[in-house]
This record gives sequence, C-alpha cells and structure tokens, in this order.
Amino acid sequence: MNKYTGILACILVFAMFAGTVSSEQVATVEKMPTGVMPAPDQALNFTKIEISPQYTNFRLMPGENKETTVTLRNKEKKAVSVKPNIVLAPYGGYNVDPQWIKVTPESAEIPAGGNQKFTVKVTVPGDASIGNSGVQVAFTDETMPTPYPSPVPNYIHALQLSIEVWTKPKIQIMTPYLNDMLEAGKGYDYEVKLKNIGTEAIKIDPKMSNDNMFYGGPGRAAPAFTDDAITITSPANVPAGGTETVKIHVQVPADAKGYYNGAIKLNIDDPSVQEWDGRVQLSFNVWTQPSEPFVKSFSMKEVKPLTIEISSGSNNYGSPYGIATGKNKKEPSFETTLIGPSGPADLKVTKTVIKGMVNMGGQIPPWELDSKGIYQENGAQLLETYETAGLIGEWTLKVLPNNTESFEYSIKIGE
Amino acid sequence: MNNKIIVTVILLILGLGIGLALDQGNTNVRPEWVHNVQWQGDRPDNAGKIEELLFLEIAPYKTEYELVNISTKGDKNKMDIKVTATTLDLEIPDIYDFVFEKNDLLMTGYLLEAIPATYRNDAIGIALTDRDLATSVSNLGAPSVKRILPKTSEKFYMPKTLLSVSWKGISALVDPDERKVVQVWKEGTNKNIKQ
Repeated sequence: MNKYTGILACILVFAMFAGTVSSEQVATVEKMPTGVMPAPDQALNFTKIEISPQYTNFRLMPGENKETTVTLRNKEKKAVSVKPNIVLAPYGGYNVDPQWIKVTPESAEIPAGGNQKFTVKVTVPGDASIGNSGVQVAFTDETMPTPYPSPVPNYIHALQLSIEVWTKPKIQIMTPYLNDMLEAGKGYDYEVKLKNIGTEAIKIDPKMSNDNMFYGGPGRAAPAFTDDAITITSPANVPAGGTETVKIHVQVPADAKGYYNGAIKLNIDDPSVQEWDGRVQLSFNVWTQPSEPFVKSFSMKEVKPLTIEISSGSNNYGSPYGIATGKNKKEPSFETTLIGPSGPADLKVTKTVIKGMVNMGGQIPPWELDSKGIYQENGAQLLETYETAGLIGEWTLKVLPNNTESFEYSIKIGE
Repeated sequence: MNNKIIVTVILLILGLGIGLALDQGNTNVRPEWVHNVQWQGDRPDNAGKIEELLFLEIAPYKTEYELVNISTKGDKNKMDIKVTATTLDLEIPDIYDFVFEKNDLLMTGYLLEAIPATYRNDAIGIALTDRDLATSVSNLGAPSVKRILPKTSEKFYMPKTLLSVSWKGISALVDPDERKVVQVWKEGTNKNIKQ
C-alpha cells in the first residue's frame, strides 16, 4: 500500500512540477515584450472601425485652404468613442504644421453599427514653405505593433493625409529636355531659354548635375562621354519679365560611342522651383558612321548565279535615329560592292523591299488602351537584293551601311 | 403678268437667300483649325451631319489640322469612321476611330501623336523630373508622346488633356499645365504608381 502510495505521490509531484514548468513557459510567452514580435491574435483585438477614405492628397498654395469629409463606420456591437488627433506620418516630411489641420467635430461617440462624418480642413498660411508632408489624422490611439520602437507611431484608425505645398514657379524653363543624335568628333550648340514671369530678377547658376554619375551606375554601360565635354555659358540672372538664354556646347570626343544621359542643374534662386525640377535633362546618342565597309570573303567552286541580300536593323531600337521625324529623320542605305576573280562585278539592285513592324497594342500603359486596335508602326526595315553572274574563284563582298546600327547579309549561290 | 414676274422675282430672291444661308451654315460647321477635309471614296448623303458631330469630338493639340481625312466602312445607318488628321509641320498624324449609328457618333479609339516638337520635348522633360523614371529610361532612347483625352484621363487623374510619355515598358502620365507626373506605369507590375 505504502509502496503504491509512494509511487502515486511521486507521479503527483512530477505532474505538479511539470505543470509549473509548463505554466511558466506560457507565462514567458505572454511576457514577451510586444515590441519584439506582434502576436497574430493581437491584431484581431483592434476596435473594428472602418475609415473611408483612408488616404487623401491635398495640393495647396500658401494662403489656400481645402476640406474633405471622412466617414467612420463602427463595426463593433457596442458604441465607440473617437477623438481625432493630428500627428506626423512616419517618413512624411516636416514642412507641414499640424496646427494647419482642423477636424470637426472634435470628438464623437459612434453607436454600434453607426456612422460618423468628420470634416478635415487644411489651411496653409501665406508664409508656408513649399514641399511635401504626410500627416495622420488618428481617430483612436490604437497603433500598429512594430518589431522595433518607432518614433512616430502608425495609427490604425487614421486618415493618411498627404499635403503638397507649392507655388507657381517664377521661372519657366522653355526647353527642359535636349535629345539628339551626335556624331563623334563634332561640336553641337544648344540654347535653353529661361523666362522670368516674376517681378524681381532671379539668380541662376547652371552647373552639370552631381547626380549624373548615377546614370552610368552599376550594371550600366559607361556613358559615351563625361560631363567635361559639355560647356555651359550663362548669364548670372534673369531679369523680371525678361528671357535669358543658357548656351550649351557639346564637344563630342572623337572616340565617343554609345549614350550619354545626364542633366544640367540650373540652380535657380526661386524657392518655388523644387530641386529636381530646375534641371535640363540631356539625352544623347553618339553615332559613329563607319567610313570603311564591312568585308566578307567567300569562294565559288562552280559557275552559278549569285544573289546578295542586305537588310537594315529591324526596329527602332536598332536604328540610330529611332523614331526621329522631320528634318532629323535619316533613312538607312547601303553602298555595296562585290569583287570577283575578274574584278568588280556588275552588281545590280534587282529588288528593294521596305518591311515594317506594326503593332496594335500588346503590353501598353493603361491610359493608352484607347489606342488598341489602331495600327502603330514601330519601325521599318530596308532590304535590298543584288544579282550577278558568279564565276569560279575568290569573291569579296563590301558593305558600307548608312544610318543603321545593324544590318544582315546573305550570300546565295545558285538559283 | 406683272404680278407673276414680281412673285417669281420674290421667290428667286427667297430661294437664293435660303440657299446662301444653308451654305453659310455648312461652312460654319467647320472650325477654324481645320483647313481641308477629304472624304475617302464616296461622300455619304449625311456627310454634313457626320462632319458636324466629328468637329465636336476632335481637336488638334496646340496646332491646326491641315488635312482631316475621313474614311468610312458600312452604310449610312451604321458605319465605322476613321479620321486621320495631319498638321503642316508634323509627320505623325492624330487618328480617331468612331462608330456612327442612329445619328449618333461614338468615339471607339484614338491614337494622338500630332504634338508640336516644343510641347513634345516639354512633356519628356517633365516626365524626366521623376527621378526613378529618369534612372530607368536612361538608355532606352527617344520615347513616344501621345495625347490622352479627358474621358480617359479621368480614370487615372482628372478629366483633362494629359500627355503619355512612353519608353519600352515604362510610361509617365504627365499633366502639362501643372507640369507634373501624375502616374507612372511599368510593364509587368500590373499597377500604376500614383504620384
């Protein structure tokens, strides 16, 4: 009996001990700081309030105001108290003062299943500085748990409000983009006109942008030339109501090849011109027209007709002139010669084919969907066929292509 | 006898007046920014009515149409209409597709690339103010610039004329008045990035 009682007591003690350990483990889980890992069921405990809209965007000039209405729907089975509070949004910028935002009513008790409308009015003072800011109109103090302490809490029941304070730039950049085909070794001059529509002279100090290195960046081909190939001549200011010209000279190095993409930062002393906007974007493609022909040798073992076919690159991306139109448009052409065992052959163009690639949509931006089904020619290809009598011996085909970045050839021996 | 002559003269004057008034009415239908209109093939009986409706729907962007070429397919009760409008300086035309049925004209598609070089380059410049886009397109060559009509723009921004600046696989929707990029699209992402 005692023996069994002893065993039973041991089992009981062991079970109690095991239970204690187990409950301690549970307690340990519960005591885990909430900041370390959000518990999945914690999210389910948030008050169920639906906010519509959850995001809105205001673009206002200093001195302007605008308002919007936000509707809160209480999805709980009990009444909920809400009190709007204006706080900066995480990573939202800092040029907006929460004092500019007024929400009415100041608080509300929303009955179970009920709605409450709030008016959010933003008034930007006349002396506000321009820029973007994000703020949250938080209706409760419930926040989203984060895995690390956050200086600005992310409120769950909040309207995310983005405010852009802007003013009309006093300087108008008449040519903010220069795009051209350049030839290596040549110089090019461009003019960028700046118009001051303000009442005071505005200082300018155009310089090559420091961001230009960003375009060559990792994984990208080196630019065709460096910034020092570009010379800028500029007045120091643009007078009130006047127009001034910034002159840009590009001296393309003789060994330049490929693309140059960069920007000139105009350094306009007008706070309404945001930093990235006060620029002239440059996009140049340096095209080297070959002066020597491509040479291909072949031999003929029998007397047979010879047919040579040459075709230009098949799409815009293969052509140095892309989708250029008007005076900049240059059509591809070929200077083809064939030299046989008895000298230059009498090479005649027997067929010329102009071949196009036309699409009617495919993967296009959603705002261009209305153009689906309308023919869009993306590029034309020139094919020329030459024929001559072929004699036994060594032959040399020479092709000097013009205005095409690639071409194909075929040599057909026999009918 | 004299009375008959007087009545005849009055009728002639009335007829001439009505004729001139109708003719004046027809020329008024054609806006100032259209210099010539050409119908491909046979001009339908209701061509005047169609032109009247067409010129309420189409308009050039910062330029004038030198020639508006209208071609039709179908009968006068229901026809597909293609309008190709060209300007004096630009090689690329504006193209509009319509369906005309029950005296009503419905625009079914458009491809509008007749944009003067200054405005075209300006739109590209504005598109490139988007830093991410400028980096992505740095080696993609020259973009296309297409006019987007207000009925389309309102789905993406607001009902006003916008310009779409597109490279292969990437596009910016530009508001030329506000001089800003309002949306960016990248191929394969299936979503637009709101600015």
